[in-house]
Parts: sequence; structure tokens; C-alpha cells
Amino acid sequence: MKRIIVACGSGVATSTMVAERLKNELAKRNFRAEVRVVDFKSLKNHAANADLFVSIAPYEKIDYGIPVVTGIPLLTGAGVDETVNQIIKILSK
Amino acid sequence: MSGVTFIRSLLDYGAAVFLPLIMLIIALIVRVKPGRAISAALTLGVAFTGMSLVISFMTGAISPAGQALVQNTGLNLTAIDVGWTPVAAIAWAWPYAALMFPLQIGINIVMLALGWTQVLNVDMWNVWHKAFIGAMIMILTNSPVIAVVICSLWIVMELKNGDLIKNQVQALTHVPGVTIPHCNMLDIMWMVPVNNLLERIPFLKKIKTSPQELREKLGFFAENHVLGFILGVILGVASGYNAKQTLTLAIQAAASLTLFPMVAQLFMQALAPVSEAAGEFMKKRFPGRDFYIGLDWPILAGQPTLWTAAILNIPIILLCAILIPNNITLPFGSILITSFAMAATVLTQGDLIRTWLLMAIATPFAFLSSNWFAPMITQMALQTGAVTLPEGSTQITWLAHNAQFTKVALFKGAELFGGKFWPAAAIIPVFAVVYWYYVREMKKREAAALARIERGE
Repeated sequence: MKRIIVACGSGVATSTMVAERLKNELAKRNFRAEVRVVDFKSLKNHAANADLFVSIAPYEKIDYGIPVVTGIPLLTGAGVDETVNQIIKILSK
Repeated sequence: MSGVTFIRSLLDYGAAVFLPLIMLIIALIVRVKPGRAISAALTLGVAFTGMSLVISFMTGAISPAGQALVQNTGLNLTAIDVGWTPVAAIAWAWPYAALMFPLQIGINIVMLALGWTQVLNVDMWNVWHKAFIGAMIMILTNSPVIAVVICSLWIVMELKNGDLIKNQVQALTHVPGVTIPHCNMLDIMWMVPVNNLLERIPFLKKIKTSPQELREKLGFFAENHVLGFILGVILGVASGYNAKQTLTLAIQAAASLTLFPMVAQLFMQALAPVSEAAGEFMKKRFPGRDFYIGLDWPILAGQPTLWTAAILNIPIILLCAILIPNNITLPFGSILITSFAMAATVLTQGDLIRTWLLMAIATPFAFLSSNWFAPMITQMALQTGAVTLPEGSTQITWLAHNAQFTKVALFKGAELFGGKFWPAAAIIPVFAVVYWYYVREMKKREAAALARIERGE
């Protein structure tokens, strides 16, 4: 199963919010993937075992070696469908 | 059994039983599907139980070391800094915490309708700060009316603050249409005068830093388990523990710092359905209008300056713990003071040296306030039944309060209503002047930030 990681400052609130919404949206589309919340400070370790990184700081210039998708729409609620479809498209490749 | 005694007996069952019921009712009101609502409610109960478990584990490991520290060095650090996650749990356990949702949403809608703000705050997680403030004001003034008034004032200030920093947030993050009405950013107001002085020092401008590179080098030390282990070793050695005791303590400390955020996630999982529904509810009220969507602070998490400054500030925290007279705070959970770091990062627009200096200057005051808060946070924790503490002199406290300065000013001001004239009578005018200067300064900085955004920097 594909693994998606989500990170925020402490790996508590924002990333969990994004992850919960993403899980819900993926389930609605019958797309099976594991969504895991991680701590921003340990991101590099987690990125090594993941297929996609949903970032809440999309301006960051670090290369984690996996595709990065912005998670901001999952927070603001504007553009959720586009983001989820983009994630599914990348993971379906 | 009458309704009142029924509710009272439910309250007696403790937060882990009472709050899931409240959550279930709220979730059903905002039309979350029953299955998801039940799951969210149970998750909340699990979150409380889990948090209580980890706090007991942590205090059980650290308080004996704290007592050994007293005997070994004379340093009387008996109030353990638990960091924000347990405090959030305690705040959620305040019986009126759930009322803060309608209060925040209601005030936001009214302010948007009247054109007093452009911020639509969809961050329902940080409602816990309002619950914390409400609970504290209840302790200080014993008046629910004043608690509601102060919480309302706080919500208004947060929203106005979202307006005051929105361009600066965008210039920093390059994310358009969002802002951070997180109360942490209120502390920028106290940093502005100091920062203006620092900006005048020519020597500071010449120092070239690369926060990104430093973050990559130092980042290892910021990981929770590594940080916990190092703190455990320092505490063990200072307490005169032998090698076995020291290493055991270090692993236990590492476990505590790793487990806190893992357990705290459960609170957000429980809150997510209600939070989503609340955001959609608010947006539906104002179709077709442009807002700045208010988000929680982690959109700043990619700022290398924030993390680098927080790591560089650790030695200053440890020095303060030793040097500040009559200090009782044992720094632990808030060892990375991200609250100061994020406010300073926005104000300095990512300048590492000034962010670090602002943090270093603020840190001693953090100790003064956490020493002051210790008995109140301990009382709150025990009252709500969210945690149990070991017998004896152990207290818990929170070193790095979010919006620390603003909160202390507000609480000291609120004491006026608790019948204490000083220092409230002095603080209220100072607060007003600082705020006035802050608004003036932010308007200039917003214009400058907008110019940078338009130039495409």
C-alpha cells in the first residue's frame, strides 16, 4: 500500500487535521493509502519510507526525494478536490 | 435523579468520560455522521486517558530526579515544565471548554459581517487557548462573566492580529490568502520595540548566517527523542545519579518527549470532524467574499530560522534555569520555545540573529511567568482530573506559554476584577500604549511586505 506522510511543526494539530481530511477524502474515492502524521523535525527519516509528502510549508526548498504536494487546500477547504485528485494521480503512476 | 445531579455526577466521572459525551453531542449537532461522531467521541476519551498516562509516567521519572537535584546542588527546581501538550489536555478538560467553539465562531461571524476583520479563522484546534484562559481567569477572579468577557476580548485580538500580520506572513511563506490568527503572534507586540532597537545596531546587520545550513546541521538535536535523551542525561548527572540511573532517566525522558505529541494527535483526531464542519459552516455564511483564511502556525514550519533559533536558545534556557533567583521551573517539555521563535520569525522576516536575540531576551521572563503560573496550572490540572500527580511537592508548569507576555498582561489586568488593584492599574495603560505603537508599526511593515510580494521577492 502507498504511504503518504503529513508533517507540521509538532506533528500534533495541523498535520492531524490534514491527515484526517485526506483519509476521509481518499476513502470517499475508494483509494487505499496509508496516511501517516509525522513530526517536521524528523521528516527526513520518515521521507525515506514514504511515497508522497503532503506539506503545510510548500515553499520549503529541501529535496526529500519524494513528490511533494501542498496540503494548504486541505486546511482552508478551498481546492480540496484538485489536491486529492493530484495526490491520487501521482500515487497511481 | 434530577438533571442537575445527573450532570454533576457525570462531571465527577472525570474528563475522560464527560468530554466524549459532550463531543458526541456537538458532533451530532453539526451533522457529523453518527459512526464518525461516535468514533471521534471515543477517541477523545482515549486521548485524555493516554495523556494522563504519559504525564504520570513523565512525572514519575522526573520528579525523583528533581528532588535529587535539590539535595545534590541546592537548585530547587520542583515545578516540571510539561510543555504545551498536557496543558492543552488540561484546558480541554475545563467543563466550559466546549462553549469556546460557539464563542469564537460567533464573534468571527459578527466581525466579518460588520467588516471589522478580513480573517475567517478555520483553526478550531487553538480554541483550547481560550479554554485555558477561561479556566485561569476563573481561578483568578472566580467570575464566569469576566472569564467570558476576557475570552471574547482575546478572540477579537487574535482576529485583528491576523489582519495586522497577513502580508508579512505571505511574504515569508509565499502562501496567498492565509494568515495566522494564532495567539502566539500577539507577542510580536512586545518584541517590536526591542526589534526596532536591534535593527539600529549596524554590527548585527553585517553578520551573515545561513539558517538553512545550520538547521540541517543542528536539526538532529531538535528531534524529540534525541532532545529528551540529552536533557535526561544532563538532569541525571546534575542530580548525582550513577550511570545506570542516569541512562534510565535519559531513556524515560526521551520516551516522554516522543509520546507527548503522539498522544496529543488523538485530541486533534477527535476534533477533526467538528473542526471541518465548523469551517464549512462559517464559509457558507459569506459566499463569494474574499477572506484571509486563518490557519494554525505550522505553515511557518518550513522556516529554517524558526528551528535554528529555537535550538540555539536551548543553552540560554538551561542557564536561566540555574541563574534566575528563586527559580522553580525545571525546563523540559518546552525546551524548544517555538512560541517565541515563530513570533520573532514573522517580525524579523526570518532574520536568524535577531530572532535568536529576541528569544534570548524573552527567555528569562518566560521563567518568571512559569514560576508564577505553576501553582495555578497544578491546581487546574488536579481540579479537572485530567492528570494525577505523585504525592509530595511536585508541581507542573508550562515554561513557554503561547502569547506569554500578552497573557500575563491580561491576567494581571484581570486581577483588578478579582479585587487586586496593583499591578493591574499600571499594566492596563502600558498594555494600551504598547498595542497602539504595535498597530502603527505593523501598518508600516505590512505596506513594506506588500511591496515585496508585488515585486515577486
